Amino acid sequence: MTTSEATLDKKSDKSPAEKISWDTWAVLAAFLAALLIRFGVVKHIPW
Amino acid sequence: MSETLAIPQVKQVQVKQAQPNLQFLRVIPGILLLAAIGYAGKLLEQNVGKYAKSHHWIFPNIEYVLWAILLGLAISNTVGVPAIFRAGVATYEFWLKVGIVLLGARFLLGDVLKLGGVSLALVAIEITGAIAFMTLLGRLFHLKPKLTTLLAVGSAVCGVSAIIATQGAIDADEEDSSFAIAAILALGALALFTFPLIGHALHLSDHAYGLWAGLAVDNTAEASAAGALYSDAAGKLAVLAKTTRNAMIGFVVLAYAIYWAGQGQAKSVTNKAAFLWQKFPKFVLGFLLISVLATYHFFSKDQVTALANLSRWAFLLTFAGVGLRTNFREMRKQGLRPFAVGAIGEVVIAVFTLGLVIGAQKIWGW
Repeated sequence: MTTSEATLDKKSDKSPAEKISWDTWAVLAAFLAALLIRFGVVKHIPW
Repeated sequence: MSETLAIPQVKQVQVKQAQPNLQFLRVIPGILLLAAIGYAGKLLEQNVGKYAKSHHWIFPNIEYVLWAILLGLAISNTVGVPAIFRAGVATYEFWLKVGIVLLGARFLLGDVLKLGGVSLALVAIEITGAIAFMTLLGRLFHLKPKLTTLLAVGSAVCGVSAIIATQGAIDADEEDSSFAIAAILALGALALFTFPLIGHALHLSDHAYGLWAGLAVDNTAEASAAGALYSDAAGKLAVLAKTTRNAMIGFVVLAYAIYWAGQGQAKSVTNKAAFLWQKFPKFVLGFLLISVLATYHFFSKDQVTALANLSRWAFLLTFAGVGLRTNFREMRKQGLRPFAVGAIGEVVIAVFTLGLVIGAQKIWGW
C-alpha cells in the first residue's frame, strides 16, 4: 500500500463528525447560539 | 514538542486515538478550568480596584484580560497544567473562533467593508514586507530553508495555524515546525505586555492601536488579547485586522507549496481551488455572515448586546487558555537561533506596521 492509499484509508475511517474541522464546528456553535438568542430561547446573556 | 507547548490540533488527534467515544467528556475538566480562571480574572478586575480604593492605595486598573492571562501563566509556569485538564485547555482556539464569529454582530457590513478595505491594503503591504524580511534574516542566520519558510509564514500571516498549514503543504520537519511555533508563541506572549505600554506611550487612538495589534501580533489569540488589553474598541479592531490577515493564509501557503514543489521538495498541488478552500479559515465567513445579518436587522438591539456578551465569555476562555499554554521553560529549550530570528523579525515588523498605521491614521484622520 502506498502512502497516499494509506492516507485515503485513514480518511475514510473517519466518522462524518470527525471530517468537520474544529474551525467549522466553531462557526456552527456560534450560529446555533445566535439562533437561540434570535428566536428568544435565550433572552439575556449577562456580562 | 513538549506537552505544554503541544499544538491543539495534535492533542485533539491524540485524544481521539485514545478513546474516541469519550472525547467529549475528556475536554470538560479543561473547559471548566478555563472558565474558572477566566471568571476569577473578571472577579479580580471588579474587586481588586475597589479594595485598593477603599484602602487608599494607588493601584492600576487591571482588566480581566490581563488577570486571566496572568493567572494562567502562574499555573503553567509553577505547578504546570495537570494531564486531566490538557485536552480541554487545548479547546481555547475553538472558543476564540466562536468569539470572533459572534463579534461579527457588533460590526455593520459598511464598517467591515470600510475598515476591512483599509486593513486589507495594510495587510498586503505587511505580508509582503514581513515575508521578504524574514527570508533575508533566515539566510543571514543560516537557518534551514524550510524553517525560514515556517517562520516567515508564521510572522507574516497568522502564527500557529499558518505554521501548521504550511508544514503539511511543504513537507517540513516536525522539529522545524516546533521551533517556529515556540518562537511565535514566546514573542506573542511578550507582545501582550509590550504592545499596550508602547500604545499608551505613543498616545495611539483605539482605532490605530487596534489595527497595529492586529497587523503585528502573530497568533490570533494573542492579537485579540493585546487589543482587548488596550480597550474594548481596540480589541474589536485588532480582531478585524487579524481576521483580514487570517483570510490571506490560503494564498500564502499555496504560493509556498508551489515554490517547494518546484524545488522537488514537496508534493505538487493539483487542484488549487480545493487547496485554497481547505486552508481558508471558515470562521472568517461566519464572522462576515453574522455581520450581514446584524446589518439587515435580523437581530434586535438587545439581541446584539446578548451576542456581544456571549462573544466576551468565549474570549474569556481564550485568554485563560493563552496563559495556561505558555510555558517559558519549555520555550527556552527550543533553542536560541530561531527565537533570535523571530525576535529581530518581530521587532522590525512591529516598527514597520506601526509606521504604516500612523501613516494611515494621518491620511484617514482617525
